[in-house]
Amino acid sequence: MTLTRRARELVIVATLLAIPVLFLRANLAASDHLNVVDRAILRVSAPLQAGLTALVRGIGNTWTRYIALVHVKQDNARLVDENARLRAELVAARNAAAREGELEKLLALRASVQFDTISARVIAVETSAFFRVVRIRLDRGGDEVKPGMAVIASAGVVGRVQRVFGNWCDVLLAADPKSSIDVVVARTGGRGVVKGIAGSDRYRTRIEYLERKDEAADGDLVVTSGLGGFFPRDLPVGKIVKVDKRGFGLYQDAEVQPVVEFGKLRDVLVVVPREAQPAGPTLPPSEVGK
Amino acid sequence: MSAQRAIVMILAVYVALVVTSSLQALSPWRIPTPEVALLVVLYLGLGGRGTAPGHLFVALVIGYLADLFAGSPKGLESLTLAVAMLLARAASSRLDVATPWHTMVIALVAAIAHGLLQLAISSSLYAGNASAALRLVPTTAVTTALIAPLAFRWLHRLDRRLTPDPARLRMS
Repeated sequence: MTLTRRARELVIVATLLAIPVLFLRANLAASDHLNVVDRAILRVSAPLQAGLTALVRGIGNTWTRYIALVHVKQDNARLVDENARLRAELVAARNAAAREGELEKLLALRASVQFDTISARVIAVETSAFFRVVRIRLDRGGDEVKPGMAVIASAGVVGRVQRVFGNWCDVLLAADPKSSIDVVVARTGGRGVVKGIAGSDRYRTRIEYLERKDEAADGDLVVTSGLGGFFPRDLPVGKIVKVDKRGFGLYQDAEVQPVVEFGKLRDVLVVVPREAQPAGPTLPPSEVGK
Repeated sequence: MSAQRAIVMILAVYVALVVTSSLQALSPWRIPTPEVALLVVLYLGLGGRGTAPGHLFVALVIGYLADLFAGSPKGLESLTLAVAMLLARAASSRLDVATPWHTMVIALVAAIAHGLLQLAISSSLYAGNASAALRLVPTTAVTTALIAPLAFRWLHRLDRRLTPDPARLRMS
């Protein structure tokens, strides 16, 4: 290889390496911007992910029913066919009942939250070990959804919309290191910010900037403060499981176990704030912590 | 590297990312996800065929796709995979990748280095909690290493299909 060619290659390599550096510099803090190419790729990918997830779920359900049939056959030699049919129906009915129960809770939450909501379903999760993002399919109104909007489930806070492409969104979970949610400890009224614990193999969060004078204790419920206008007030975020009481400084930290089981997340609601939202509690006191 | 080969490899990464992200959504637990994009980059880099800019461009495109699926800030995977590609190319003439064990060891070391580089670059996001993230590096690396021989064999088969059969060329 001649020296000129070598030098030219080096210049090209350096230029190519500079591209991701510049991208990273621009996106490290705020990663919600999508360009035309990003949108096109994500719009193609999201239906594929949804289709694949639905296909595997369907195969899994069939497999589960088949296994149930085999067990019934072994246990009840004389009534194989009848038992198998009944058990399969029972499994299907239980699954349907469980799912309906979840949806009923979601509907109750939807009725109690004085914001507009859009229902959505989880179709995929991130492939990186270090970030906690899920992809959802909105049932309607992708145009109404904007980055930063709150996403909730029947149990409580899920996270925020990170980016939107058509009727699909990426949701930054509360357990992601980039996430921060303004919260209140329900019992003491102490304010803090819940942030994700980076790279944990579980979905963990911690509450920061909680003043040392606040007597937070294990088991205390942490709810949204409502500040910022995206999250309704008093939505459960998690329960304190470990308080890190330091003998110095202004603040104390505490580990918070999210109330939402992110691994089992299926149906969620995206909260669309109304501009003329009246101030005041958005959930009746009886609903807090349920 | 031919344009056809580059496109096929990029498509392979895309399909792998769609499949892994969808399957992960069905699991109630967090399963360490193998770094499929890194494995393809390693395979191409260790193969050593083609020019450095060509390889780097493919690594950047693969990294861009990985960023879209990883939930990471845009540019993070692109940058780390580009670095991995350059290192793999540089090491290609010195490394023996003859057996599945060799492949696993190389993938393990590369995945650890890749994870550490990602953590170092994005350390500003972790605000003192980097130790928890650090613990994930070995598990991801082991998962990546375990599937590396299979991935390399599959990529090799893809490569063979793309390469014209010399015997047929002689006949025509």
